[in-house]
Amino acid sequence: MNKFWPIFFMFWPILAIVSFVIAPSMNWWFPGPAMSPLGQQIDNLFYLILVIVAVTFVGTHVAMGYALWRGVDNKGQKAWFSHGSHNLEILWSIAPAGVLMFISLYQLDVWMEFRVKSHFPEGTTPVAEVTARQFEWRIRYPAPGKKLMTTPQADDLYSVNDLHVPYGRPVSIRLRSMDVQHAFFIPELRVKQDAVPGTVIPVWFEASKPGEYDLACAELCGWGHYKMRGRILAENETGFERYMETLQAEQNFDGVTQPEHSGAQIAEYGIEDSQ
Amino acid sequence: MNRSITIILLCAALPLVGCDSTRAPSFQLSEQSEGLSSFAREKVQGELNAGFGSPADLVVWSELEVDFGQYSGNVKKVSTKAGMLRIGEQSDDDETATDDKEPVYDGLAAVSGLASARRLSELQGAAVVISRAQPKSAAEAESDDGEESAAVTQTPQVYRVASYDVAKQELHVVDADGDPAQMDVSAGDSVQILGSALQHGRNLYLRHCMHCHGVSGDGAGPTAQYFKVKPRDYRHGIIKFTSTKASVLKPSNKDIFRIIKLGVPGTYMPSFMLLPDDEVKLITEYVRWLAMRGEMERKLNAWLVTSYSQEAVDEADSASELQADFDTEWSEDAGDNIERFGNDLKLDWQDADKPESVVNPTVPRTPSSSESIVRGRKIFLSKEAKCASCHGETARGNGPSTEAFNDLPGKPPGTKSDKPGLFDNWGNIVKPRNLTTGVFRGGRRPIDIYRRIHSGIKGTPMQAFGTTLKEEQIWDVVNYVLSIPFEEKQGGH
Repeated sequence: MNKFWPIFFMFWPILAIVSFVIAPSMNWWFPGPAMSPLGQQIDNLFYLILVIVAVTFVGTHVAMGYALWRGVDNKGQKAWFSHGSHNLEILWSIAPAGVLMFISLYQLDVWMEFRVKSHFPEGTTPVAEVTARQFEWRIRYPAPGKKLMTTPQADDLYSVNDLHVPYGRPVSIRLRSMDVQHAFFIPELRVKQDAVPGTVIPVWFEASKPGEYDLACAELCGWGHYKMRGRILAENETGFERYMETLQAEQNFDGVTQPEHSGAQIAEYGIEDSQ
Repeated sequence: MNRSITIILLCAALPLVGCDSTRAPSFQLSEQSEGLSSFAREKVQGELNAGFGSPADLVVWSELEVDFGQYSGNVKKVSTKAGMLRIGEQSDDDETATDDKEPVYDGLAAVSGLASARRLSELQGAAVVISRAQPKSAAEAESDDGEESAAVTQTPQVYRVASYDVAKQELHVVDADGDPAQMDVSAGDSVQILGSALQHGRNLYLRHCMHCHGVSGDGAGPTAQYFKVKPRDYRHGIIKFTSTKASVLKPSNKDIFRIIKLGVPGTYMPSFMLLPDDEVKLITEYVRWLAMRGEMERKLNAWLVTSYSQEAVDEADSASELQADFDTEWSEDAGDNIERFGNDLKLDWQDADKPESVVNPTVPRTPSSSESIVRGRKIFLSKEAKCASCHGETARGNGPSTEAFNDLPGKPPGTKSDKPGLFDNWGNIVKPRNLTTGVFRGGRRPIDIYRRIHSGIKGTPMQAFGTTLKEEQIWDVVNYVLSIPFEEKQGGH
């Protein structure tokens, strides 16, 4: 019975460690591997911090468990009174401060690359303006072959909830909000950025593989927050260009002139009226 | 002390009370029907229940122009266990093979097409109709008479699907009381499952649409009260943004589909772009069905409201005499009228889906040029088109009509509003679109704007100009409208 409390207190940290160890295999971990170079760097930072924290956590708990366990039997022995020890105070102030300083300096490059426009990777192309609104993502692309302008242009192309981007190179969006705060979140690319009304925030990302990525709103924005599901479709250059041309044909459709490309987009809507 | 114990006990009892989840969802009668006398209202309610049922118990009224969802096949083999059908793809070739593999059947039917249905889990509650096969000799004898033979079947037995086990291909069937059905079936009987699409549509509607558009499609769901732009009340059978001509009252299936997919920019209607197409189609059918239910109620109302409103009862010398009159009129005319109303609904909605009902210009869009835009602007300001009287000379949606007392749409001509402004059929003030913002609710494609001008916006004071303007003129206006958001700001504007 004497050992009950040491065992009780040690059970929880062990449970914590076990659940961390089995988490990836139980699918309690990240939403898949990072699908972008920056996402990989962010994951690496996460793992670095996880290792630091894990070593500290395990170390303190082993020490505490040992002390508890030993204390059960040595009732006669007097404890060492360490309160007020100047050396110890200095040690446990400087060591964590050093660790924190290391982390904050070490992550600075990734942070700058992610958030500071002048440090965006070279060749980052603005592909679209994404305007969050309750409860959807409205997207404005420049016409094929043109640059994205800061104000709407007559030949801009529009879409909603469905952002197409080329993969394998960095692209950026102009993130805006029409009403309240939203957050542009692509879990698989490890991109999360609040959309703030009144500001335009550039966000860049790069999908390393073609495919569909979820786009979610990560800021509770109202009762329909859960409805703000979108998707990022990363395609190769030809696929992306064809999509833009299809979108252009769709958007200029006058009911008479047949669109040159009757591609995926029009078929997907199932909405073309004249056969 | 006693008081705190009471409070604690009361709080502890809260989970037992819950949030009133026991209340079954129901279709509400419209405000109009509330004005009917109690006896007339009862009949209207009864008629709607018979034709449409309740949200939990939908009725397949085959007269309506709705895809209710239907699978059919024949009974293959009879078993003794109650309330269970085994179903699979019907195929004449493997009939014996299946028998060999599974000599003991729990159930009996092979229903073709059902196994390939996309979501069998959504069948729950759908009607199972089993009709007796005709004796062979009789069928052969009547086959000469062609179609008539089909009419001479016995009354079909109607049950409900309790559940469906996809892996075992077992269909569990219950009767009206929810007990396993005691079916009187034999091999060769035909089996139909009806209403599965409507039910699936209802489930999706309740999940995605109901909180704004309401259980009855009245646009008064729990979240609707926070909106300045009200969600559509389908019960008038009117959808504003359609591709159909002005003379066609209803939207086409595609119109509703497109609105759900793309949303309505500038309103609270979000885009459901990522819902699979087939789910959007099911929601479309359910929305159309809700609209038809509302229209049926309106038609019944229009018939009864003049003579049998609550007001009429209050003013009548003898209420019981009026009720007697009503009973006579109802028993004489109700059958015919309801059939006629149903038929009207069918024709109206059928009309909307005909290819010739869609507005399709024959002349391609005039390429946008400053000449075309100037011509369009002239038409915009002209006396014939009078666009500026509502949209304003600078197209900001602030024309003089917005300050005038106007005729109410959907009412007899000359019925004026008691407040200044433009009203829609739902009784809300509508603002003419401010065309400078670049937000187009009905879509921004040239064809969308063309159709808005050609057939107007249904249920609103936006008129149809398809007859007053030539196609080229409409294209000029389209070019002008699309250019407005990019106009250079002029002094004085």
